[in-house]
Amino acid sequence: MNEVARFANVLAQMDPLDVLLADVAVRVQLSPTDYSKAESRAGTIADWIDRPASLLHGRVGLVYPQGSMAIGATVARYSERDEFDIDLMAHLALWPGATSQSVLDVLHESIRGERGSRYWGKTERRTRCVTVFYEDGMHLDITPAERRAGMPERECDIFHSKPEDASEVEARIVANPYGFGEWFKARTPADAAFGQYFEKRSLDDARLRALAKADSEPVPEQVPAYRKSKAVIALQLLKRWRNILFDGRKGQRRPPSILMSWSVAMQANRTRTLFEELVWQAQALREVLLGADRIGQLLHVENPICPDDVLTDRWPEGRADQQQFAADLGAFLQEMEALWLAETPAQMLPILERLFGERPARDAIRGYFERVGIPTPTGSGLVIPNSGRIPVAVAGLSVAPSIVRASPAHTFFGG
Amino acid sequence: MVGLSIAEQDHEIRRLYPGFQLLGDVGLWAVWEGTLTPVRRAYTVRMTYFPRLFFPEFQIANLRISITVEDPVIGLDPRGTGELPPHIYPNISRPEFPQLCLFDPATDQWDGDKLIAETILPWTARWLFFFEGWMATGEWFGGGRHPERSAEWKPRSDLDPELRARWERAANAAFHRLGQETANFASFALMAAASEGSFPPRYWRDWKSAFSPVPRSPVTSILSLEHRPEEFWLSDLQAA
Repeated sequence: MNEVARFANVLAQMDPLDVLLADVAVRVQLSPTDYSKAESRAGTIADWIDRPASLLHGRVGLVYPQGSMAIGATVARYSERDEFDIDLMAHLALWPGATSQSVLDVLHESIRGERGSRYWGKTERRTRCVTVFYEDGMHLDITPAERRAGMPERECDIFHSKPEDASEVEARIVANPYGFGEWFKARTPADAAFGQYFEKRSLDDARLRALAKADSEPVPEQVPAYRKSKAVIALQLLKRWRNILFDGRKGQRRPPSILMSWSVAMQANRTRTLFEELVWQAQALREVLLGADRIGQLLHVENPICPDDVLTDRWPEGRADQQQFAADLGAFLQEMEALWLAETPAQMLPILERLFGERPARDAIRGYFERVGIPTPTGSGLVIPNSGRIPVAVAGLSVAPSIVRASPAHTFFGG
Repeated sequence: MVGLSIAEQDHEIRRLYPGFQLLGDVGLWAVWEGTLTPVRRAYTVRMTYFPRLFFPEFQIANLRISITVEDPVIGLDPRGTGELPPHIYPNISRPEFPQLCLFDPATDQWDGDKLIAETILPWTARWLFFFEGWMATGEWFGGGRHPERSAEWKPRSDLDPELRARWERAANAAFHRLGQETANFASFALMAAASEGSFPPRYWRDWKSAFSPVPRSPVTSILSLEHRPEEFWLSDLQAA
C-alpha cells in the first residue's frame, strides 16, 4: 500500500520546483499501466520465441528487461509522441558455429513467424537486436545473447551484424546489462518520502489518463518500481532533455542512455532536493566529458560489473561529439539557473517547455493548480500558516499534515 | 452587528501569521500588512477591517473587510490581454490595487465574528495561488461564482416608482457617507476626527460619537433586502 500519508509533513514542505519537475517526469515516463503492459508483452514474446513451431524451440533461456526498463528510467522516445522503447535480453542456447548474422536472422524469423501470425509485418531485424512494433507505439527490442560459461551471473556475448553494410565487421561483444542494472539500483535506493510520493503521482496520472481515454485497462493499485530515487528521476529528465535536443539534429548519434545512467549512479544521493540532484548530475556529466577532452582523449567508460563491456563503444565517435555535449550541458545548467531564479509558474513555464517539451510542461503547470482546486475529504484550503504556502504535494491526501491548517470552505466571488 | 474586536483579531493574526503587522488601529477600523508566499513569490497584502457597523439604518455587507495586494502591483490587466483579474472588486480610488473577493456575500461564509487568521488570510493565500495559475495558463482553477451583472445599474423593475425613488436617494446618500467614513474619499476633517489623539476644532461636529454601537435595524443593507446582492456592484454604484 502506498504510504505517502506517513510523510505528509515532509511532503507539505516540498519546494514548488520539485513538485513541478516531478510532475514533468511523471508525464514523460512509461506510465504504470504501460509498465504492466510491457511486462506482459515481454512474457508473451518469450513464450512465442519458444513455441513448438519456432526455430528456437527448446533453446530459450532467461528473457529479462535490460536498460531503462530494468532501472525504471524509461522516457518517451520522441518529444511529441508517447512512444517507448523497451529492451529485453534473450539468453539462447546456440548451435555450434553460430555466427552473429545467423543468430540475429534466426531470432528475427522466430519472432516474425509465418505469414498472418501475430507478429508478421511488425518486426525489423537490426544490427544487434530484433524490434517488435506495437500499434500503440511501444517498441520491444529483443537482444539475443549467449551466456559466457564460467563468468559472473548473466555475463554474456551479444551479436553485432549489419549485412547491408559490407564495411561493418561482424562481432561478438561482451555485455552484462543485468549486472549493470543491479549495480545501478544498489547505488540509487529510493528516498522513502519522495519515492512514495512519486509512486502516488504516477498512479494518479495513470488514472486520469485512463479516464480521459475511456480506457478499460486497469490501473494497478501500487507499483513499487515507481518508488524511485531523485537520482533516477533526474536521469529521466536529463534523457528527456537529450531526446528533445537531438530530435532537431537529424543524423547525429545521441549520447547513449547507459553512459548517462552510469554517470548518475556514480554521483547519486548527494543532494537534498530533486532540483539540486538534476543540477548536480548535469554538472557531473559535463565534468566527465570535459575531463576526457582536456587530456585529448575520448571518454572511455566500462561497465563497473564487467570491464569488457564498454559503455562508450559507439559514442563519442570523435572529440567533437563530447565537446558538443559538454556545451549542451552548459546551456542546460544556465536554463536551470534561470528556473531557480523564476518566481512564478508563469516564468517557469517557458523554461520547462524548452527543456522538456511543451506538452509535459504545460500539463505539469496545469496539474499543479488544478489539484488544489479539487475539494478533498480534509476540505479544500490547506495552507501553511505564517508563510501562506499552499502545500501542493499533499493536495488530495486523506490525512492532513499537522503543519498545515484547513481553512473553511469558501467561494471566490466578484468578477 | 458587532464583529470580533480589533484586539481579538490581532491576537490570532499574530499567532498564526506573525509576519503581519498592525499598521493602525483607529477604533473604527484597523489595517494590517504582511506577506504571503503561496508558491515562491512573496506578496505584500494589506487588510482593512471594520469591526462595527457605521449606520443605524444600514448594514455594510461585504465591505467589512477589504484586502488589497500592495506589492507587486496586480493592476487591472496583469496578463496584458485586456482581462481583469478574476474575483476582484474594482478599487475606484486605487485602480491598480483591486480588492480581492474571497467569499460569497450571499452566504454566511464570512462575517466579523469569524477570525481573519482562520479565514481571510488563508483564503487570500489561495487567491494568490490561483492568480498565479491564471497568469500562467489563463484559467482560474479555484472555482467561484460570478454575480449576474446588469447592463446598467438600476433597481429591479418591479419596484413601485415611489419606493424606487426613495431607495435611490437613500442608497446614494449612504454610499457617499460610507465613502467618507471609510476614507475612500474622506474629508480631512473627518479623517482627523476619527483618528485617536486628534483635536478637531470645537465647531467641528463630533463624528466619533455618532458611531456608538447601534441595534440592528430591520432595513439593514444598502444592498436592500429587496434586491439580491449580485445585481449591484460597487463600481455600478459609483458610476451612478
